[in-house]
Amino acid sequence: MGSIDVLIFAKLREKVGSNYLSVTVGSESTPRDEFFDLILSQYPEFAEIVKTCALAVDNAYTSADTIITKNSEVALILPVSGG
Amino acid sequence: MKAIESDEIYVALTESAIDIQAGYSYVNHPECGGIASFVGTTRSFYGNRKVSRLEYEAYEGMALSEMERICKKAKELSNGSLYRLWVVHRIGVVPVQEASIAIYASSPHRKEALDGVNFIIDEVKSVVPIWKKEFYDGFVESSSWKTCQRCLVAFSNDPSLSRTLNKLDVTAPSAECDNSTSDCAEESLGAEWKMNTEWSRPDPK
Repeated sequence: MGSIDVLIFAKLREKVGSNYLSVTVGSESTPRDEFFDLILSQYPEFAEIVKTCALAVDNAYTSADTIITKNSEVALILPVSGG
Repeated sequence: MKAIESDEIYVALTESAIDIQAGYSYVNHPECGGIASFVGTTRSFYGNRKVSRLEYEAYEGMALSEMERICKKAKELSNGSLYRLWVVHRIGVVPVQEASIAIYASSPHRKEALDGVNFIIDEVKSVVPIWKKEFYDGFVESSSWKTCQRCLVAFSNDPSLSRTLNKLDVTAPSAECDNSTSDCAEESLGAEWKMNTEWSRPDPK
């Protein structure tokens, strides 16, 4: 039980008006897909843009078997436009 | 300036002007007969809009680690033909005509150096978490976060992002979409949303 702050950037950061979204979790560890659904359900007003994002954990893109814990650094990555 | 340096790879993010000469100096090596480079600069026009400046934002830690990972991959793919790699991306405001990214690669022969630079810029544009905001003259309050078309394709091709993509149902941009106007990028994102409506939201109990 507790919450995990998800880092957000660029257009999403501007829409939210903050550098993170605090996501309430129900257990010590949450599978990536379940965590993604938690974000969507807790922030329906941003769901449209969140759905365009990839989830990163500890500075790397995730796969379905990634587990998120309280110690994870989690971020929503919008389609990028660097270069 | 935040940087990572290891195994003859140097990657950095900087908020000031990129020191192009430093890249040349870093990769220059007595066993290398070829140095290739790419410098991306801010254009004054995007489609039919006049661009006054660009602003870049990065997820710094991940951007650096992805840049380093890409350089390691480039060296691996070159079978040791790439000697030194130098990649610097500018963050914050980048005025017109100034460099947003500079890449240098050295190799005993030119082809590997040129291929290496090409690989790196393609990968950077596909996956490195950096976002560009364009500001247009005459539309003081008007600006838009750009979506790199290559990025959308990369997202759609990367199986590790399948979960996101199942929800997105992202497809490659249509052949008609050359991303030549800012409206085009907006339309691409709009198209993604339309497909997303097929996805059923989790029960918020």
